[in-house]
Amino acid sequence: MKYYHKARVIVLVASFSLMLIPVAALASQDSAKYVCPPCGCGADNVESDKAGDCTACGMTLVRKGTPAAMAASQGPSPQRKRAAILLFDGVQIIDYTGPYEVFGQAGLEVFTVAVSMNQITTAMGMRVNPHYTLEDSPRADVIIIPGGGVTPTQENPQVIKWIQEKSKDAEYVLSVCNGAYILAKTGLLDGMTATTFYDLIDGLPAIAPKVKVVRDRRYVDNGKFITTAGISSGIDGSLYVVSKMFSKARAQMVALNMEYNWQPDSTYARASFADRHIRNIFGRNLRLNLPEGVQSRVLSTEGSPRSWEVRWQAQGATAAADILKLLNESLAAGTWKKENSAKSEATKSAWRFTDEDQAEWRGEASVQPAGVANTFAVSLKIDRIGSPASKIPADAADGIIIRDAWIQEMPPSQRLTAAYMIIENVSSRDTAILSAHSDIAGAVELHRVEMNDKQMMRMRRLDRINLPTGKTELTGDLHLMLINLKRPVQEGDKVALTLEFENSIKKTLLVPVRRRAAM
Amino acid sequence: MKRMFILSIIVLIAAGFDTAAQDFSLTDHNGHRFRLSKHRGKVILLFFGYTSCTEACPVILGRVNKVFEQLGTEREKALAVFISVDPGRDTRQVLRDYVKYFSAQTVALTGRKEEIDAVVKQFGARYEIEKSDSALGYHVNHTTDIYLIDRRGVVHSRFRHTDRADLMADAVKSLIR
Repeated sequence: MKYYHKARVIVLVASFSLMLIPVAALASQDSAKYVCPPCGCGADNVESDKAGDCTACGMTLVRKGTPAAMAASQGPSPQRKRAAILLFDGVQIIDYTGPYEVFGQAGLEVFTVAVSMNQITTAMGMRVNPHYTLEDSPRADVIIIPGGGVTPTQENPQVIKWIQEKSKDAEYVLSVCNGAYILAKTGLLDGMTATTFYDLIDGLPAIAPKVKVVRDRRYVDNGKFITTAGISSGIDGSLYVVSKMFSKARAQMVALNMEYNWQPDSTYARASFADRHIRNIFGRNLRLNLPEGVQSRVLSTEGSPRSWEVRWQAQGATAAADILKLLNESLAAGTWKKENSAKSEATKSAWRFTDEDQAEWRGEASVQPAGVANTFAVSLKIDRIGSPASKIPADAADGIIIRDAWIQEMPPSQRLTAAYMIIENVSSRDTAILSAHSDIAGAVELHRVEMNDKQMMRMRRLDRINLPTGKTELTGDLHLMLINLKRPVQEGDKVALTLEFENSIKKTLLVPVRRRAAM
Repeated sequence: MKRMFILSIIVLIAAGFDTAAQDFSLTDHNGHRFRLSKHRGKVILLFFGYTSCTEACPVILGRVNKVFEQLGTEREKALAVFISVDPGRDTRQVLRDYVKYFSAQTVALTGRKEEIDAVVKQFGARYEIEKSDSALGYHVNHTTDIYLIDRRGVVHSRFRHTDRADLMADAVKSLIR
């Protein structure tokens, strides 16, 4: 007997070698012929003048000369997965080329699809020719919907229908950046969670009222439908899909080969950064309103989700107080409230405001002469001082964030189930889960499953689950086990679960019950 | 093409191992007697587990579903068999609910402990009961390999429970044809 996983390494190496096969030149547009994708149906070499289905096997005909049709001369590759990338005028370049690179390197057959075979002009003027039209595009395992200038596309019923139809056969549908706007228009994201480009995130709910929009994730996985944040996030989203489709190892090998600094566990989420409160006032380019004849440039803009500082240099014949006066006017125009502090000087002002989660923020504007004639250092610094009042479990006031919690639905006669979650210890000291309980279970235990030295899967109860600073995944090997259920739990239920940590910290969360997705 | 080539290498390697046709008899989740040799001509995926398992067993059954999805019209030529190594808790009703929920393609089998132990031994699988302070009372530690049995009843190869469904589906397809 032989284990198959050894063979998988060979398949992996073999599929890497496939990416060395150059993509063949495209057929000219005017004399388009259509053929059946090579499948051995007997009509593989029959040419047709128009798109449609193969009369022999019913497969969608593909344009002759395209990669799918060319496979005939290279031998059929029924096992090779395919990725379709939607293109349109104004598409953001890295939104579609990033995923193209990742999926191509992972061994998939990647092709582009557009409304017509006309040349596409991307954002910033790159010109590309699509492989297929919406009508003649073949089935794909992954569909990628990039962003950019999406408005005409999100309003095009042909495109919306194409996404709806092709998604049925696809394993994954991935939107990048404001490609989420196009995907949302299909209705396929309804009831799901999504993210998008940081600067357009506040506009998504209007397009997609049934979608929960989040700003604290680089990509959001709903199983089949994955949305990523802006621009380069598409690379991370694609690597994530590769790790789901094949293995983490394959995604690692692709990232290494791309010399891409992949951080699969990174919590970087551009849209969560605090600078949005400053951009809301000064715009994406952080342009100050200044006295006549005064110029400025941004020296730095940096921070975190909890604080931010922008520094400018202003130059011109004016006084610090005049710059501050206009700065104060800009700040007062929104929801910021000026603090009347006795310490207020002619070169500083203090502010307070409340964000969309009802968290309290403090701001300080400052204009100081820079020591050189007619030159001023301008800065604006903000810090979050309070916790969002409404969000008890999501907040990290006690240093513990719990997310992505779910309970596995089990057959009705099973009196037990498991709960999974990701816990982030954002404090500077280690802690641990000491116990858990729920009203619906006779006992909630901390469990670990592992392969023991006799090559048997062994489940055992733990006295505690340590939570060092950083992320701990209770998503499989480690999990909570709910035993002696008082009633069966079904998808759609929400179960209250209380966890007790060190230092008498207690958290109660409402955990949704879900079916386990097959892998 | 490439896969077929690799599979044929494995077939050659595997040919050097077990060549005897397997047979055994246990009770299925509907209470009927199940004899393996009655299913000659089908390609069989066989594995051991227990229903109080929330990790490996649901994962394996989910994969089996995917394998059958990928077999399409050829699914009638294959069979999945889940043998419980926990007769104490896995009653027929529990087994029936379990396969109905996780994988309607799968036949769940049980029997007297001696009968089960004989089948476990026959396949070279292993399990052990471990007493625990858990509210479960005891845990069942077990091997999680999935045995691929060809149409003649000969064990052709085995998979790990972490192997992907498409890998298993390819192997099943190659033995169906």
